[in-house]
Amino acid sequence: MSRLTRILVVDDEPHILRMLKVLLSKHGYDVTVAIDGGDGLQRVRADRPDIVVLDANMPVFDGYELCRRIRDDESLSPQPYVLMLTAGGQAKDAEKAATAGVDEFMTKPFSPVQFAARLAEIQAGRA
Amino acid sequence: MTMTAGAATSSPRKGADATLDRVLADLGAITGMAVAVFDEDGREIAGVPPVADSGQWNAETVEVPIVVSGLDVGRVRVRAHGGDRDAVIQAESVARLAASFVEGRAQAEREQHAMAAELDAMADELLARYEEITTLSQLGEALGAVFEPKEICRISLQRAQLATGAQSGLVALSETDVLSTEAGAEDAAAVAAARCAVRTRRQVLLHEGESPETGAESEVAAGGPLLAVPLVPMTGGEVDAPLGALVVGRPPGAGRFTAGDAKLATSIAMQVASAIRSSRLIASLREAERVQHEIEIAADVQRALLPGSPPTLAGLELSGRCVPATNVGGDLYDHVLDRSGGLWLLIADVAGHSIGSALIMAMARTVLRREIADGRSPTEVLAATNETLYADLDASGLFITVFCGRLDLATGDFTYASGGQNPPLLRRASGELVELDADGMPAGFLPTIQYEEKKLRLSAGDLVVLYTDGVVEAEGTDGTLFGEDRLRNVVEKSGDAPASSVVGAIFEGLDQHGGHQADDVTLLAARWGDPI
Repeated sequence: MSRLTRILVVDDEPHILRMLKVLLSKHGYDVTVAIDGGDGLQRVRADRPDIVVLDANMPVFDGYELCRRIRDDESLSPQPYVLMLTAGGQAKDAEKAATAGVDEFMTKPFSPVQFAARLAEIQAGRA
Repeated sequence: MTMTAGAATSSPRKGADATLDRVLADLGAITGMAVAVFDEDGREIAGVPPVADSGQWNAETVEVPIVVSGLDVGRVRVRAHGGDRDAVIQAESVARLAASFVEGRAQAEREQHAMAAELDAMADELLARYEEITTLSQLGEALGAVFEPKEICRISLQRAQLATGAQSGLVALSETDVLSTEAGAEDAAAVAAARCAVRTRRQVLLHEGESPETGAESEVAAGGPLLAVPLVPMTGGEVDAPLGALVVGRPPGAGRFTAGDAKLATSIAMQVASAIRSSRLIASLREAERVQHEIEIAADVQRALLPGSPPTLAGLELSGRCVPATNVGGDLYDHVLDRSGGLWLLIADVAGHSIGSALIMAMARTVLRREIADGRSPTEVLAATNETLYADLDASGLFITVFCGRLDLATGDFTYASGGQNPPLLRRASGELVELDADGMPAGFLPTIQYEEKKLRLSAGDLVVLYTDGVVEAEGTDGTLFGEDRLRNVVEKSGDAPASSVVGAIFEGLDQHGGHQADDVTLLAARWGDPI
């Protein structure tokens, strides 16, 4: 039996972090969290998540930089699916995210129900 | 997270709690006693020295319970240095010390768990609010450019299903007590739930197999969980009747809808109801605008039916004016020259001043002109007009009062007939006032009508004034009618003023009389000079 899909959530907003952890745990994912880019990178290396949900703007280094570093790390194989959440959601942000290696770009506020549904699709796609 | 014995919620392994091991080791080293902690099932969790052999515990062993929140969750055992009283008391003290350490840690951990659970509950609540806000904002955005009720229902149902994790549902709108499904599938149970929600103005939460109490529909049971909410628009306090209902459903065996789902559905329903109401309002405004536009076109057409500038005739001066009460009127005046040197003066009034009256008026004008062109006499013109229009007038419940007279421009002979029209006034040059009365019923009363023909000769300086009842029945600000006396007075005093001045003076009198113009007001005046 394959292990639970592991999701790492990286966000510097504690309430968003907690909310996402509760939401995703309820949907049966194995959830770990990190509160900034640096912490996030350590957790990616240690936990080897299948999916990384990250905020665009964070201290230490931001979501774009975190994604670049994940993509540059050859030890991370297979690479996780990276989903970026941002409050901005402008076209240039999406472009910047794509350049950094982000697989998917989502704007806040998002519907938790739709978010969970999307993760289920991603999970199905990777299975 | 490592569990201490006190938490007793998982199965701890010996050696898994390093802190406890260290504390017990220190305690053992200081006292030289064997100390161990057991869980509620008697399994050893930590101990020093490692004392798995139960033979170590003998009569000299002291046992103290570990109690957390009033629950016995384990034991601490300490083996005394001997059986004497002091040794036992000493051992008991050590055991209590170890127990209180375990209890303190367990208590702290419990509190931590409780706090985490509370935070999770808050996060859950936050998620629900977040979902609600996002759903409503997305719905608002989606409905922003949609004004068609069916489309509003379709989009809303889709959003409601997504937000509540439903797979089926419908949106029904009620119009004069009939509920019609605008979006979604016509499931009998869903329709019954919708009816119930509209009737009770409350949400209806049904579990699998339940049926709403709706009388006739009470036998219909839900196949799967159902949630129905009434569509009640947002208002400034007053509660409007529901415009319909939103129903979402899940397949049999799926989880039931929660109070949170109902709350979300109610918020969506409120937004949908407001959108539907706006859409209906916009539709009625558009309709009113369209009707107004058509009435304006009709008014333009009708104005074009009134005669233009009167013909310049030697010895005769003409002046006419028609002011409709609304955009379109039922009054008409006309002057027509015939081929035998006669000038016809016509005035008519169709009951009402609606579009229908205006249409009848246009027809009457055509028929009157045709009959005049055919060379008939005034009585023949009126009789023929009645016969031609009778069927249409009868069908529409309308009638026309009409006066027509032919003035022989060579002799001044004036032959006339009237169908219930206010008798025109003739002011002789001498100042004498004569009513031009003639018997006859308004056109439309009977299929065939006989008209009385009258004839008199005009002298130089005579003035004929034709008018509709809107002149004499104009109500003033004081509630009195303008009346025939006021009209006669103006005509009497007109002296040898031109016809146009007399018309102007009558309108001036009406203005001074004041009040709101309730009926069309029409005048046609002719001043006879010297025949050629």
